[in-house]
Amino acid sequence: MAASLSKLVADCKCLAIIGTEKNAGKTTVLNYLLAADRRADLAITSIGYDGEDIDQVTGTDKPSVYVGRGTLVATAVDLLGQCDFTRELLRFTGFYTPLGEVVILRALSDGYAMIAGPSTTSQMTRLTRMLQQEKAGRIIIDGAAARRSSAAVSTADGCILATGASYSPDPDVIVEHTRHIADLLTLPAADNVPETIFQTLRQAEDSSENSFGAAHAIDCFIIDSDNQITDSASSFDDSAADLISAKKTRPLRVFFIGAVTARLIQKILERSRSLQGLQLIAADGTRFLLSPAQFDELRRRGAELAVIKPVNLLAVTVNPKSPEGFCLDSSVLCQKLKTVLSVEVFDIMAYRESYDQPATI
Amino acid sequence: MTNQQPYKPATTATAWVLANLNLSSPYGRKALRNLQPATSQSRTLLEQKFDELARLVDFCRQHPQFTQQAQAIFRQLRNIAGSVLNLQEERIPDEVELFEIKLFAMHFCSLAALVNGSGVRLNLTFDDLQALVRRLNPDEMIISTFHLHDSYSPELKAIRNEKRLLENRILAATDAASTDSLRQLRSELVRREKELEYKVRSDLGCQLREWLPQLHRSMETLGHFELLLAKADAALRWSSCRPQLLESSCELKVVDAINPQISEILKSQNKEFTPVTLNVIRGTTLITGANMGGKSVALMTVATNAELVRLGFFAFAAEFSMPLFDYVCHIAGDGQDQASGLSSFGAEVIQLKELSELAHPGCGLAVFDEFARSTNPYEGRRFVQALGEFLQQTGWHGIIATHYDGISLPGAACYQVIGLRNKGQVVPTSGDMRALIDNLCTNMDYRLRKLEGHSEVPHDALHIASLLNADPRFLNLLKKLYD
Repeated sequence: MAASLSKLVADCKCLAIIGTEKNAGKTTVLNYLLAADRRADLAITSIGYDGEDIDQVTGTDKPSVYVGRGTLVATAVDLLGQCDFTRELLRFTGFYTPLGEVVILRALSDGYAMIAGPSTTSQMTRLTRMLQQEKAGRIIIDGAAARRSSAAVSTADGCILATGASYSPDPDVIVEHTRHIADLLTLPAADNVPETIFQTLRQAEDSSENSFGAAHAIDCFIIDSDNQITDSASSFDDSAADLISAKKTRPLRVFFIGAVTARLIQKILERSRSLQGLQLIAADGTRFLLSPAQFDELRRRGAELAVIKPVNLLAVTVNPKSPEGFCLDSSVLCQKLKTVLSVEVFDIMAYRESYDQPATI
Repeated sequence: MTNQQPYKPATTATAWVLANLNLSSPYGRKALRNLQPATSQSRTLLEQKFDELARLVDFCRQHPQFTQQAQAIFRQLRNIAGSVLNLQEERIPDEVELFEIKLFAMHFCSLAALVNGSGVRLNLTFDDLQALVRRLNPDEMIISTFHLHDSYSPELKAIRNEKRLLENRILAATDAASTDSLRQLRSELVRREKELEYKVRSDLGCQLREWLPQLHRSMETLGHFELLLAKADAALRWSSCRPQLLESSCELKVVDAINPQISEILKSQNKEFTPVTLNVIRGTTLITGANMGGKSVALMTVATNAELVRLGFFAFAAEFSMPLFDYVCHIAGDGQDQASGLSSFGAEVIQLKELSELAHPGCGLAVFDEFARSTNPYEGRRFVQALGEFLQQTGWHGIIATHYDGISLPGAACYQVIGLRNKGQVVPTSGDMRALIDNLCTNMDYRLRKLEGHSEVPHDALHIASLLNADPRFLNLLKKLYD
């Protein structure tokens, strides 16, 4: 399987690896891709600094990233002491994280890397541009759990979703959860998005210091059939839900700048019986923070969900091992996933056995 | 210098000019924070600074690309003060600090080459940091990246070679057991590599400490030069002239001065600033004029330019000669500070008291915009009369703009805003505020006219109120009172 995963992503210039949850095996996938395709123009970074990585600092059982010589690494200066490859400092980025400024390094030898990159979409976009100026031909962004990976998926042109036993000991629950996240990630693109929405989105991305965009009071815009913004509201109180429920004209399109929360959807479901002709649109699939039940109910009542930038989901990888120590039958799990997903499914253990990295530096 | 309080501008327009200077490096911004006005004692020094600025202004006018090139370098400069402090305190520099210092030295060298190559004569010398760059770039080719190069230490080079071979073997290994044991070996080599790198960094730290005086000086030089360039840039952005510095008894002579802040605001509305021309004598100069006739702007323009000259800027005027004042102050009667329990009137009185203490004896410019405006006219007139006499006694250069009639000051210079051109002007029917103001502006002649003898206060308030389309019922009542 291993070779085919690297072949599948071969044409991707900027690849994001995100997980359904923590410990879903993202880093194992990353290490596999780094080892399987030791191209000279590779660059890696991550969004922010995941809680997962902190375990690496304390030395618990988490794989770190093993990069090949020549790889460009964008990481925070405070983590340099924990990167053990010989390196050249190429440039400062001006993006600051809690672990200091992000710098771009070139690995002059193979070795272990600790990576913390920027966490906002606009910084990630600028960082990928800088990496390209440094001649990166393939950038891999180590993401986080899907709902916190907007900065990764909105920058990348392809995405791998890692899932596994860390979520539940019950394979059916894992399959259901993974299908839900994959469904959200692959929501279709909204057509005919007004330019004003793009502008508002860009402003929101530039101004927010975190990718969740929680700082925007007015984040919900109603678009009429002439593609003009007619109303706006905030989804942080009930005004957005009130507004949407009060609008009886159909079709009705509603754009959200930030997250579409479960609370908001609950309010909409409570206030309107039929949602026929209602289209809810967010920047990308990671912004819909709904439960599977809400998602199904919205669709049952006729609402349509769409995104401004669809995620190109290339594959789902499976980690049958849980941090608690049990291991599911990965072939069963993969088989079940394949029946509900439209993308290829890979078992990462098949890869781990031959390429496994030691747990700590 | 560093312990001094940052200078607090007396006028909002001065603050605006300082805030809008083209400064992008931390060094230039620091130089601005440390900028202090000249005093009558430091006239020779200020003249030398104007000589230098004049040469730079001339050069930049002929070579606009010079400014752009220098600014491109300034934009890339990072603040290395922290790294320099660490060096000074004998901490071993890490590779980020070494990289930062190397980049600084390289940018500094490019700037030095640019300035020295230009031939413009400035009162600053750029240290030669090329040897420092070489120290941090032992290879033949100078590159803008940094790494702890093999050539710093033969042992380091040997370990790295060994490690590289081992990494190749790890890559080629097929079974987990041998991979594991090779990795163990590698981690030992990594440990030794880190030790040797530490030694290299420590040696570089020692060598770099010898450069501390040059590094400190270079940061100062950069700041000084960037601020100087920003002054030249400002002098070219708005029309300006080299000010002439005079003895303290001379008149302040202003010809066609502008206020850059207001001028920019007007430009954005496609309007033009009416330049201010007047002479301010030692003693009292009185300005009267219609409401909305630009008295406040004229006062602000004079005060701002005088203040900027003290700070080493060219004056934004066609001609500007002034005694080198020890202070410039601008009391506008809008300093209402209810939090401290002062009304605007109270604030003016307190400001005058503070000014008298500060300025005694000294030579200074004191500008009063509608002094005592908010008290009753009966007493207000007496306050202004007393202020005029007081200014004549103190020996300051004082300007008072006032609305009060009957101020009698023998020896005072008097000016009046020319005011409304056509008093029979038809009021526009539009209720649009913008249109009303525009109409008023086009009918207003903002220039100052010198009056021979006493000041006269024009009675234009009724006309202005009509032009602003005041409520007709109100205007009728008002007109009855005029009859």
